[in-house]
Amino acid sequence: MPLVNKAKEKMLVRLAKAGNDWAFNSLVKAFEKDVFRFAYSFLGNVADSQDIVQEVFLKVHFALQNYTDTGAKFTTWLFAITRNQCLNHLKRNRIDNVELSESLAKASFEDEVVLKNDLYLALSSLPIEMKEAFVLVALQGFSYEEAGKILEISPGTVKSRVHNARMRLIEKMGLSVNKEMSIR
Amino acid sequence: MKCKNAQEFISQYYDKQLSKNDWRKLKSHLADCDKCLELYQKMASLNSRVKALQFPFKPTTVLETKRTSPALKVLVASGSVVGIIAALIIGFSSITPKTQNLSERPASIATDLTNKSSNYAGGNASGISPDTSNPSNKAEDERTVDNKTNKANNLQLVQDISLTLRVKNINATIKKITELTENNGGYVANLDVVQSAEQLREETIITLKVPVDKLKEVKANIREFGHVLAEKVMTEDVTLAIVDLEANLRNYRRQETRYLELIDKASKIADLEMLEQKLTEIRQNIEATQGQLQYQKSRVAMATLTINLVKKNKPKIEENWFVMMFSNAWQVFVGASSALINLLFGLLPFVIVGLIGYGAYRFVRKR
Repeated sequence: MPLVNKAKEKMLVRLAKAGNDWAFNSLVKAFEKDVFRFAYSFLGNVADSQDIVQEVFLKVHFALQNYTDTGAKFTTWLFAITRNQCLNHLKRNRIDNVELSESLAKASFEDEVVLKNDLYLALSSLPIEMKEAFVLVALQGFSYEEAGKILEISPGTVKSRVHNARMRLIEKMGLSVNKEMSIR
Repeated sequence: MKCKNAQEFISQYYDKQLSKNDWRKLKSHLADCDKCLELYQKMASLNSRVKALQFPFKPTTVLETKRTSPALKVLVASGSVVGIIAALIIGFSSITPKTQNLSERPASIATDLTNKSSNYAGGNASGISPDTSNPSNKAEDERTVDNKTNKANNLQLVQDISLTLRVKNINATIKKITELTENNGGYVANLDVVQSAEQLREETIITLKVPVDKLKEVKANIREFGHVLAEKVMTEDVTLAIVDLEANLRNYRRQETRYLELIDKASKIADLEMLEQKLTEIRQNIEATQGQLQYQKSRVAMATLTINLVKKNKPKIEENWFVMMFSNAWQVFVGASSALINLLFGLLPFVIVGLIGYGAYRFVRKR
């Protein structure tokens, strides 16, 4: 998942905290893609997701002073911020769940390319709780514990949400799962 | 194992959260249960799609993430100017008949090739050599190499310098070094933090890429940031490699034109197919060689500076010998006491057995 190893990440965070611009830029470079992916899976729109990336790193820039590496890992902290920012965005625009038919209207060209991907279509129709758990664990490679910290739920809940998300995705993508098998 | 558990295990397996033990259980279950195996395969195909899922990512623009310094831009610009001049000279001196030849070819192939050859000329020449500051000089270099004469003055050296510095404040030094490098048109290629046991030594390895003409200046500046413990300068002569690559490239291009001529003359479809195949092979070779050439030239243009920053933390030593003596004595006392207590407890079973034996003996004697 991450582009930088742990020691380097720690060093960069420490330097950025001390006001080193190069270190902060390196952090942005290392994580902007991951943040974007996560935001995009929430919002389903390039422009909004890019706004989120900007907002997140702006927030990180100012909040870095309060961040201590004794608590959460930097990535956990970063994704918690991203999630909050996304939820705020959704609240602001009063969209509970991004349905494709709505988001298609404002989708740009790049969006359309992604939307043709049936997996993405299926993913966007999942309820948001499942989607965020799935994206964090299956796409970003977080452990159940870390994802639980970001989403403020227990690791067990993360596990079941990801599993349910998988089952639904398989079903939605036409790979129907035989119902009998769960009874045996 | 029940199928429901197995399903969850499959999901956990793809989350990389399944223990080895559980994985073994799952495997044995999958061997028996066809339905779960089917689900496993579906999950596998889902997983491969997840891995392939691309998001329309564009790097952010407002945040200053670009680090192309003005100096680098000038370098690139001068490189392309050099490219044009070099291409003109080469074109007039050697390739002119070939390009004319090409223009008479069937439209598709001809455009394809001219594109490629113009790419090649630009790419080749903009692969920067040590003194890009002087375009005319560079163009002459191109020509001399092309004619395979007088290449003694034109040594292509890859410079690799490593410095070990002892500094007081690693973070501050890193900041200074990055600023210095960026001001001189270089960039930080890598940063590694090494921590030794007991934190007696902190070490950071920082790798810089610096334009060759600025190397001396940068090195001299960095030396002043701390106490120099070690210095190592390595140069690798890649002149021969570059000349070889260029010769190969010329040969491949000649072969390419020859095959193109043959294709014009060919009448059978089988021959055409064969020739086309050969042509693609040669074009692959050309691209590979060009890549290597670019790589070598970029190595020559940017020197590598590896800087090892070391900070020694003083171990805490109790300077008061009196206190030290007592603390030592106390430690010895604690050690001895614990040994004694251990011994006593170790002997306890024997003592108990002995007491019981003695009691029995007394009991028998009394009777």
